[in-house]
Amino acid sequence: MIERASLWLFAAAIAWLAASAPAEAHKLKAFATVEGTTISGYAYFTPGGRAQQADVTITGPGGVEVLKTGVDAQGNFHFVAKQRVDYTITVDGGDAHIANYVIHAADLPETLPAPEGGKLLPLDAPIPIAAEAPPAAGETPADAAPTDAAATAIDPAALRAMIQQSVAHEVNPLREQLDAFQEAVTWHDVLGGIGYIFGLCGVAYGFANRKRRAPQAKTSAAKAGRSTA
Amino acid sequence: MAHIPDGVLTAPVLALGAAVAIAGCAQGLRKLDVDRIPQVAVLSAAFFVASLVHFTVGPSSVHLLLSGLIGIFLGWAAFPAVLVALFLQAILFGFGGLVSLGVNVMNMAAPAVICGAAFRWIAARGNPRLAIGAAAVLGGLGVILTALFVAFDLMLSGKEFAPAAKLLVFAHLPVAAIEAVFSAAAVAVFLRSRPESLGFPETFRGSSEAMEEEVSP
Repeated sequence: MIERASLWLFAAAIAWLAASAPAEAHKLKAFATVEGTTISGYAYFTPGGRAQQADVTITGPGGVEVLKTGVDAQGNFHFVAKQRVDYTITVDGGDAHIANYVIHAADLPETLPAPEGGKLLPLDAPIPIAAEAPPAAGETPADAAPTDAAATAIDPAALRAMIQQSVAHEVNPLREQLDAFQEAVTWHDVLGGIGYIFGLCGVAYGFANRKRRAPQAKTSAAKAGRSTA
Repeated sequence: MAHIPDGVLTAPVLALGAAVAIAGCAQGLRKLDVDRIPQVAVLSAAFFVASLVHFTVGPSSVHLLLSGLIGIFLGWAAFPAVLVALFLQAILFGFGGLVSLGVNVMNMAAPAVICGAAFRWIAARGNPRLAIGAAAVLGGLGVILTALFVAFDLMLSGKEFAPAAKLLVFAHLPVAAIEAVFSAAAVAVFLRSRPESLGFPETFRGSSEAMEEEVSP
């Protein structure tokens, strides 16, 4: 017994939804990857693109704040890890949107020191990525491939770091994809939810009707009892 | 924004939200007429999907809320409708937290009830044009009120009210405009097909034929 007009209303909402595909939930998300000691990431809305205004707070284990920064106009942020600990990145949009992302100690290079006696070092304010890139690029070739003779006598630690870096390079896009996929709302979710609402409506309607019919049922049962007797 | 995740608000605010949500739902269910259950379900479903309709405004991203519209149609029954929809959004979409569910229900259903009461008051005058105009204003107002409620929650949780409110209200002005049009259109349709659900007398259906000619060319 749903009126034509409410169906119309509902159809309009569905049409609107279909027009704005892909269907995704709306919330703030943070994502970050590690390359060497540099942790870079970004804040984004699913759906709605990058968050262009947000505070970024980095905390160590136990919630100790080690850095407070923000995102740039593209929603990016980056910082350099100083210790091999779990860093929690909290992005706050200021409008009740908040997101967390944890960089695990295991993803950071083994060359980084562990915190001595649980003491966390505060991180430096990040320098713009463009200014930082050239030294980072210059570093690797100097260490990695000087001459053939040196290549055979490569330092195992440096080799391990290189392997870690290239594996991270390959795996990070997959992580990013997986993270985004986790948040995507599929049509199953949407239709499932609508189904729940109408199912609940049916249950409520059924119970209410049973209550209403109870007196009638009693009289008809009495009648039936009389006729058999 | 309207879906506050867990870990943003303080315990007293969460308790207040839960108390308001429970009281509102009790009142909504007490006043709910059996024959109106399907209507509540339809609007609950519309509310459930509306938040997937999103757009980018400045640095933020917003979505439809429909808080004014469901208030106009449901009155106090907006509370149970919003509760069910928000619960499903939280578990299916990861949209807003479960601990903050009560606060989120309050933020969306309380403005709905306010807008609904205002609409009934205006509709009682029996002027369909006025009612459609009121639906437009209240449809937009519901969104703005929800934004202010969120800013108020943040203030109670120790953030500054003015910047959050400014950010939230400005980002939601386009949403308010869209919902104003949507609410007016929905009320216009209902005035023709089922005026009694909007507080107009049932006999109004026949007499609104003339208006129908004017509204739909």
